Amino acid sequence: MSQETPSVFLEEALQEIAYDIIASLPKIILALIVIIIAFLIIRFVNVLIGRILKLVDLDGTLKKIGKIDLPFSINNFIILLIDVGILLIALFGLTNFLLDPLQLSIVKEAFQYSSRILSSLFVIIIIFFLYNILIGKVTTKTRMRGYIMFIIIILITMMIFDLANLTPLTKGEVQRGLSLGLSMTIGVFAIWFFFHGYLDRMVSQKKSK
Amino acid sequence: MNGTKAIAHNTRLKFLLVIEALFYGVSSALTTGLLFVYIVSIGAGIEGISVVVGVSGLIKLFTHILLYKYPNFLITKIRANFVLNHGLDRFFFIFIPLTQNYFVIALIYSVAAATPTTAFMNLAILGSFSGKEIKDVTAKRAATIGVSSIIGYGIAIILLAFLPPETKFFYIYILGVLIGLMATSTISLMNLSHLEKLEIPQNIEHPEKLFSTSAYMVAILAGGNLLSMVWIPYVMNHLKGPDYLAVTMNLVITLTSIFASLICKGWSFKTLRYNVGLDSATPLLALATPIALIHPMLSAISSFTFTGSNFIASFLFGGYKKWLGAIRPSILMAVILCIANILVAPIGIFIKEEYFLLFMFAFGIKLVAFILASTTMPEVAILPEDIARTYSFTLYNKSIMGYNISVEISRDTIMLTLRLVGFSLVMLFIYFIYRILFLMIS
Repeated sequence: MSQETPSVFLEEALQEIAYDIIASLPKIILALIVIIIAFLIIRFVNVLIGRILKLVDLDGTLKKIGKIDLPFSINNFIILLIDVGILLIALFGLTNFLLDPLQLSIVKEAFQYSSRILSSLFVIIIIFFLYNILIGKVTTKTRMRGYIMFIIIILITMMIFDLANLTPLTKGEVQRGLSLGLSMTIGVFAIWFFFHGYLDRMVSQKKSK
Repeated sequence: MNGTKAIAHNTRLKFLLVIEALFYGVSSALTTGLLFVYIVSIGAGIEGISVVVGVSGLIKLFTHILLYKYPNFLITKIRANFVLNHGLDRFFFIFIPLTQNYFVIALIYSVAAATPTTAFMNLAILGSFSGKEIKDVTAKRAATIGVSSIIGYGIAIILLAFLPPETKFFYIYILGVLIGLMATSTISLMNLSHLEKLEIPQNIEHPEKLFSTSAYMVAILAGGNLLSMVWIPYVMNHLKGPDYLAVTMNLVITLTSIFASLICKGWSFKTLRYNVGLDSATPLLALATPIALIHPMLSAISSFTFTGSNFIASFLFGGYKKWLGAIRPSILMAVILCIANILVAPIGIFIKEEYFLLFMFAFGIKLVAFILASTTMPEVAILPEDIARTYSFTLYNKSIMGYNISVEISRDTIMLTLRLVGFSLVMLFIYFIYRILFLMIS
């Protein structure tokens, strides 16, 4: 009897696992089919969009018109965006089939949060990209560069705080403070920019007195 | 072929070409001639006519440009090809009265118009005869077509008046097709095997001459087409001429063209050039004559001078076969006819009943033809031949330069448009994907 019990237990366990596998087999097959279809679509779309983008020649046009040499290919970036989009559709479609409503809401939240992070990252990249172009095209002093960088850092900090899991009160206070700082920085800069001649003369007159 | 046999062969061919013109003229009057009447009768009006003329003109131009690029098609199994194309050209008209949709009519007429019957006919004449004989055959055919189209229009008027309204066009078109197929059968009797041995010169010796003559022919045909479009409505609507005047003018034009063909065939180029000058003045004469009853007389002058002016181009193309071969001019003349039709169609559509402007356009186009003839065509020019040759060369060079620039600009524009369309498509696709994703998540 004592010899039979573990074997029966094992048999039951294996049977249960087998039932689970059999029960989830259609879902696994469906998932495989969806993934295969997604990859096939990606392959097809890559060829098609690749040909269209070859004709459009965004990299060449940007280089010719804007005299801008990007560190990456826009064509490849667009294709990557499309591929990621298709993959995400496939993944999210699968989660709809495979997960229960509670899990699904968690996944939805995760997706939404990831999209916020991604969009913030995207904005940061664009800001730095524009900053890089500005520095490259316009002759600027080191102090001016520092000033622009300072504004950029404030903006980025605001976006990071927006993503952080702080209480709404803290988040609001921090953002108000940063906004005030940003406004004052720009205001002081504007006063200096428009009236620096007058201010210089006023200071030198006071010094001479 | 020895001398006697060659003469017999040429005489037989000439006879068959004239017989073909006789049947073709009647058939053409009953089919092509009634096409606009049929379009109007189904309620399509100017819009329908413009669609039919525009679509068929473009398709005909496209097929003939292809033929110009690959002219060997014309001389491979020429008789079978000619019979087939001529037969199809006539046969397709049978389907026109079966539909009341002018888009379908445009398509059927385009198929009929796209068959290179005119190019085959030009080749049969230019490739078979020498200079004088070409003039003779061209003139005889023009006169025969004039006579037979009068017969054709007579039959059409009688049948339109007496047949039941629901079926009259169907029966008239069947009759037109059957008579047209008789014209086709005369072609099957022609011996055209000598044309299969024709050579196509790779280089054009005098491109400037070809250019001047082609430009002249486009201008003379376009001016003639525009004048024929505007004149009768002007007399009927503006001068309030009686109904019979339109028929009289058409009859006078056709009869004069018959006599002009027979008279002008013996004239030298230097004599024929006076026709061009007079022809360019006819739109002004028509515009300046307020009495409707005088217009048939003016139309006789116009028809005579137009026929003479048209002969200059036809005879010159006949002469160019020494260095251009017989095949390319045959196709080129058909291409020129298409270009002239396509050029005139938008003027008629956009200006509509502004008679003064339309007459001035016709005068302007004819004046261009006169200037081209007097200054750039050495055979016809008022200027000494060497100066005309220099002008012709200058015109050719400038036009080629302009053409190259416009081709370059057009190519760039097309590429830019394609790029923008491609970019928009890609962006739309990205939007589509992420919109789906967004809908799935939210």
